[in-house]
Amino acid sequence: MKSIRDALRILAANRSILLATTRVEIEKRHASSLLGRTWVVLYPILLLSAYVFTFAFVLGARLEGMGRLGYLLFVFCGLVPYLGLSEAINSSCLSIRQNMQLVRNVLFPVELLPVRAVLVGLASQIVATELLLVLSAADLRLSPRAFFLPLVLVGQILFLWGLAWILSLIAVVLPDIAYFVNLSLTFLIFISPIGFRADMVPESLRFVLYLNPLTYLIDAYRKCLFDTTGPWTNAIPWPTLLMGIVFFAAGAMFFERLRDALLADE
Amino acid sequence: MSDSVIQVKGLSKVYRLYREPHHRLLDVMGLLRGGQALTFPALHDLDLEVKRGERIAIIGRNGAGKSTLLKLITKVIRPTGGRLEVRGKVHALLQIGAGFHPDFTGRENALSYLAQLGITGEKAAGLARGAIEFAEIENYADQPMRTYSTGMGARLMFAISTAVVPDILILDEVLGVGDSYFARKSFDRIREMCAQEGTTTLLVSHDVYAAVRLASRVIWLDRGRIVRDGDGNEVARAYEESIRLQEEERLRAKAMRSPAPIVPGKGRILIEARTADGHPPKGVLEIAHFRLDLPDGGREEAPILEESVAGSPGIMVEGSAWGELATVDQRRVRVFRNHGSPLYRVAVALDARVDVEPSSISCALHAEAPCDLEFRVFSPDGRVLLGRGHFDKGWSEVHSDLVPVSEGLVPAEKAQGPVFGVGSITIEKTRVLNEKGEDARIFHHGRRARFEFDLAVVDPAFDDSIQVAVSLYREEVPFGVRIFGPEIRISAASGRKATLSVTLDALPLGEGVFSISAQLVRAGYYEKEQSKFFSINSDVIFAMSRYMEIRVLADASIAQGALCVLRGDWDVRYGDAPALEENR
Repeated sequence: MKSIRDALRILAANRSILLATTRVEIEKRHASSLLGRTWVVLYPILLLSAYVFTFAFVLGARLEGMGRLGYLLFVFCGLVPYLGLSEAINSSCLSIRQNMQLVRNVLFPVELLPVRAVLVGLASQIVATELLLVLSAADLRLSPRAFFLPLVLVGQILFLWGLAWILSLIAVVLPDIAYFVNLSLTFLIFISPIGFRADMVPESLRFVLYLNPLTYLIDAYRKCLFDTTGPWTNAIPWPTLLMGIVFFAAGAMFFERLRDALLADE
Repeated sequence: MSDSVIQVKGLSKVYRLYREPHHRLLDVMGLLRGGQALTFPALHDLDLEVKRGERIAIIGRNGAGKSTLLKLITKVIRPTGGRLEVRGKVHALLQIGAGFHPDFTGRENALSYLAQLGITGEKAAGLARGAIEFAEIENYADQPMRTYSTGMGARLMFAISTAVVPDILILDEVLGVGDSYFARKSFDRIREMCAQEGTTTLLVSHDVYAAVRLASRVIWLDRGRIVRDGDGNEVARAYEESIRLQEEERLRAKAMRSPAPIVPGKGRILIEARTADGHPPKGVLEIAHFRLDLPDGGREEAPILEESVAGSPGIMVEGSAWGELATVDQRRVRVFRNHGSPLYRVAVALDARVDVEPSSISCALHAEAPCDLEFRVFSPDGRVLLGRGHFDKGWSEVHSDLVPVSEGLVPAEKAQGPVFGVGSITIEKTRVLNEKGEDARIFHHGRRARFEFDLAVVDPAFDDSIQVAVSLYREEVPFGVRIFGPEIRISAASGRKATLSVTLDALPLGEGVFSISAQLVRAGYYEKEQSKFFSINSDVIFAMSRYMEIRVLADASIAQGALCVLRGDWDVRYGDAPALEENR
């Protein structure tokens, strides 16, 4: 409990530093490129366009009862959280290991390094989500349920922070974990309900989907932007929030318990 | 106490060292097999109190625990035991370029650095501008950092990290950055911060001189313990002396590295005898025997009559004053010369029983003049035993009890300061005469001064050209002024006593207190590339550092705040008017 309180306290105390340096980090990514920070917006748009091209025009895939635009929106509701999740985990995994000099120079509280890396990784998702809102409006599905999206993001961020604390700390002594994480993320795209619905999977295999945290995230996105029927309370992302709180707590405790042992003389 | 910012009591830090990085993870999970991790105590029961505004330098060899202490104070790592209290915001500058991005411009990096401290907007812009000015890189501020030279980057780094005044500033080896002009500027900035803002500075440095220049207090750490803590100059001098001793230890280790004796129960022991005062003995000593007495009545005799070849017992020639074999009053002896070694000592290795520790040493010798010797016995397991004896003129035998020396103990400083050189000539007395020819301690800038050195030619066969360098160091300044002489031929045949003198018609030294060092070397020493440290270099005949002080007063302000004032031949030449036009 104390470790969770400490984690919250550090986050609150450093929130302005966190935001300022997140912005700097995003700029660092694009420093020296010709278009500079335009890439923050351009990259997700181009990426999604590539999917549009492949799914809608080359494969011509669609699901029953959905128009071409509807199917695109359906797929994007799955792709966008995946995009954010994989970028955030990839960039946070080595965040401590690659910034040991900051840790040594006490420039930056070590627990904030993975936190910041997650925020940097989510930049694309946030831009892409805005694009989703436009798509949703174009398909005449946009409703006040979209106001629950920030809550989905909160749940996702908490979940990612917790996970990032665990992974980044282990990666300090076991950098090999980064490869494993990378492969898992690639694999995740195939076992997540991005191009299909959960109920299209045979019952006997469905448990795989429910072990996958991304399933809940995708579901939450769809409930806010796509499946706008049924009572509005359906759109409250309970599973995502619960998952976020559990992972956050676990990550905070893991970090507090093991940081000294693992960071000792690095 | 209210003005103490760092309080350390019984602080210790033990590292666990792993063969493979992932062993750490296994260990944390309790899965590591025993014996896979080593423990290394980096700090040992340390007590320390630092007051607000103090400037402290921590010196010591690699692995002494300096960085560990800083890491503990910065809370990067946590102590294994003890209490550590730090009051105030700590700011560390441990590695140049930390957090700097090569594709960012200097200004962007400065701003991003400040963002890490939570400073943004107008305030950050102002501080960044100030730092860029201080680092003197205005013209490059908007160029990417990768185009910067190392010095420019380091300057900006220093400037930006001192832009925000912290309560405690921690510096690790970063003061060597940039040229001496910038180093000076950084020193001033830190001094100013300490004096005006009450910033406490802790710095770690291998450069003892830089440390002394900046710090008011120096802490010497060795093997995780504080060896000395106090006035900068004093601690630095003791530290340098210990470095010299370590050089000596290294030579001895070389001698001891021979294979262990095959005889069971025996081990290689080294006996060393040296003059107690560190000066050459007054006359030649002829040693008949060294014997170690064992508590059970046994005895071990040192083979001083045999030269040691690698791996066998016998005398150690290198770095010692051993002379030839001789016979005195029908006893076989080996000569301990009063010149020829930088350290006036002799050493002999023997294979002795190791199941009991020797309780005393006996030594029989014939002396030309009375002398005091100090004995050190080094056992194979690294223990050091000390003994001492006074020998009268003629034959005498001395028994001395051997007492163990605690590890890491630094011998008391010699009254006159360290003396080096082979000692075939020594300086017995130094006089500095003022313009009236009086032996004085206070002098005036620009007036006449004369240095006189009384030499004793110790080696009766000496006949060689020497050169003299007299160095004058002003307080707090690492570099001094040298007076260098021409080649002078000295021959023992012309006389065993001589006086060397040099006259300065107008003393060029600026105002201040200067300490004098003198070095007699074989002619050409300074022209050659020297591979050996001067304290063990056989071309150094005699060297005595900072053994005397004089004070220089200045009537004119030109000699204030200057180490030395030189007056050359000046001339003025008027150019043509058109040339002046062109210059404009």
